[in-house]
Amino acid sequence: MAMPASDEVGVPPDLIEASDADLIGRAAQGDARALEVLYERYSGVVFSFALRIVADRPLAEEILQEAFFRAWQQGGNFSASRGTFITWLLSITHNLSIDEIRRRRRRPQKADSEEPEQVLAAVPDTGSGADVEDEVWLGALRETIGQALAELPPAQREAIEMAYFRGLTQREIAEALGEPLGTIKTRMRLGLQKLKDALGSDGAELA
Amino acid sequence: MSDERDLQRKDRRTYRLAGLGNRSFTAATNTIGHVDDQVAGYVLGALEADEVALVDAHLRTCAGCERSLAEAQRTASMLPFVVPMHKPPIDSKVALFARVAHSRRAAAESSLPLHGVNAWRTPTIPSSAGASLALASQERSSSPAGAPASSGSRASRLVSVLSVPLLIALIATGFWGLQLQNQLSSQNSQLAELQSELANFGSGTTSYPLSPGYDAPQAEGQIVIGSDGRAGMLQIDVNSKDAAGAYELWVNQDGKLVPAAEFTVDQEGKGQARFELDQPFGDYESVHIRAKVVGASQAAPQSDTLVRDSDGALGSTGSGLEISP
Repeated sequence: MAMPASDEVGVPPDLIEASDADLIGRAAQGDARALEVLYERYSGVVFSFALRIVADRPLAEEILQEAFFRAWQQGGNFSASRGTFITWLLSITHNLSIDEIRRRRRRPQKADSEEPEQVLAAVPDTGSGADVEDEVWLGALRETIGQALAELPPAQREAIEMAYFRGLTQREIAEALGEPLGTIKTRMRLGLQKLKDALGSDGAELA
Repeated sequence: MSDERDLQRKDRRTYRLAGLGNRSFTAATNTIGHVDDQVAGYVLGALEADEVALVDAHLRTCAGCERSLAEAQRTASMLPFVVPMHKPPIDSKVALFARVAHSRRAAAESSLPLHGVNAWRTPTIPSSAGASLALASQERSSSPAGAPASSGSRASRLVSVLSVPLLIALIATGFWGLQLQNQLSSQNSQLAELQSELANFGSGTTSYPLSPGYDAPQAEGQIVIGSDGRAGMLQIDVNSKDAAGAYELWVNQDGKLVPAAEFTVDQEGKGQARFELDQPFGDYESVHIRAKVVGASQAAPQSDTLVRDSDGALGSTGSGLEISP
C-alpha cells in the first residue's frame, strides 16, 4: 500500500496563509500542496471564467485542469514584477478558452446548438467554492467591475465583450456589426480607457 | 492571532490588486510604426496571428508602447472577475492532481538511468589511436619471422606497448557503448509506458458514493477515482459541527485494513483528501473512513464514519462491515 506522500496528507497552516507568489514558487519546485492551495483559492474563478467563454461545462472543466497544470509546469516562468499570479493564471485560461471556441467555430455547428447565454442561464450561481471572506471579496469585486462595465457606452461595452468573452477578432466584430474596422478599434480603446478610469479608484478602495 | 490572519488576508488581496493604481494608458502619439491602435485588441485577444506578431516585434523596441500595453493589460485582467461564480466539480481536482502525480513520477523516473551511464563513461580515446594501431599492425605483418631485432622491430615493440592500453580503452569504450545502448532502450520503453499512461489518464473519472457508518448516520461522502484507477480524491461532509479532527482513509486489501490517507475534517464537518493506491480501486474489498485514534496502532478497532464495499454502498448502519485486520 502506498501511503500518500508526506505532501499529500494535509496542508500546513503556513501554506494556507502564504502569498500567491510564494505558493507558485513552491509549486514550481515540485510542491503539490502549494498548487493545491492555489487551486482552492482560484479554481472557482478560473472555472467560472472558462465557463463564461466556452459555455460548456465539460469543456470548462478541461480548461480548468489544463490551466492549473500549465501553471504547475511553467510556474518557474511566473514573475511577480510583471503582474499578480491570478492575472497570469487567468490569461492562461483566456488563451485556452479563446483557442477552443475559435477551433469550435471552424467546425460545423449543429442547427439546434444553444447560444452561450442560454447555456449560462441554465447554470446556477453556486459561488466559487472559496472561503467566506474570499467570497465576499470576490462579490465586491464583481459588483465594482460590473458597475464599471454597465456605465460604458453600449457600443464600447459590446465591442469589448464580443472580443474578450466571445473570442471574436476585431475584424470579425467589424463584419458582424457592419462597422469600419477603425471604429471597432476606437471603441475598444476608449472602452478600456473608461474602465481603467472607473476601476482605478474603486480598485484601490477594495485593496 | 485572528487579527494577524486578517492582516495577512488583506495583504494577500492587496497583492492581488497590485498594479491597479491611477495610471493611464492613453495613447501616445500615433506615429508610424507605433501600435497604439492595436493595444486594446491585443490585450482583449482580438488580433489575428499576424497582427500579434507585428505588435510583439514592435514592443521589443518601443518602451512607450510596452508601457501602454502593460497598463491596458492590467485593466483587461479585471474582466474575468465580472462573471458569476460557479464551483467546479471535485472530479476536476482529482483529475488535475492525478495528472500532477504522473508528471512528478515521470520526471523522477526519467532522471534515474543517467547515473548508470555516467558510471560507465571512460576517457575519450585520442583520434590518433586508430592510426597507431594501424601502424603497429602494418609493421608486425611486414617483419619476417625470426628476423633479428632491428630499429624497425624496436619501433614495432614500442607501438605494441603503446597499443595495449589503447586496445583496452577501445574495448572498454565498446562495452560502454553497449551499456549506453541498453540504457537508451530502457529509457525509450519507459517513455512509451509513460506516454501510454498519460494518454489513458484524460479519459474520465468515476465517482463512488459512500454510506454513513454506525457512528455517523448523517455523514455523506464520495470517492472519485481517476481513469488510471489508482489516483483518487475523497470528499466527506460529516454533517456535524462536533466532528472536527483528524481522520483516516483505510482500504481492505486481502482482508487486512491498510491506511491510504490522512486528512482533517474542519469545524463545518467537511474534509477532503487526495490519495494514490497500489492496486486499482476496484480490487479492494472495502473502504473505510474513520476518525483517527491518537496513539492507536493500525490494527486498533474503530467505528466507521463512512464505508463502501466491493458490491457498492452499504446500508445506513454500515454494520455489515465488521472487518478485522
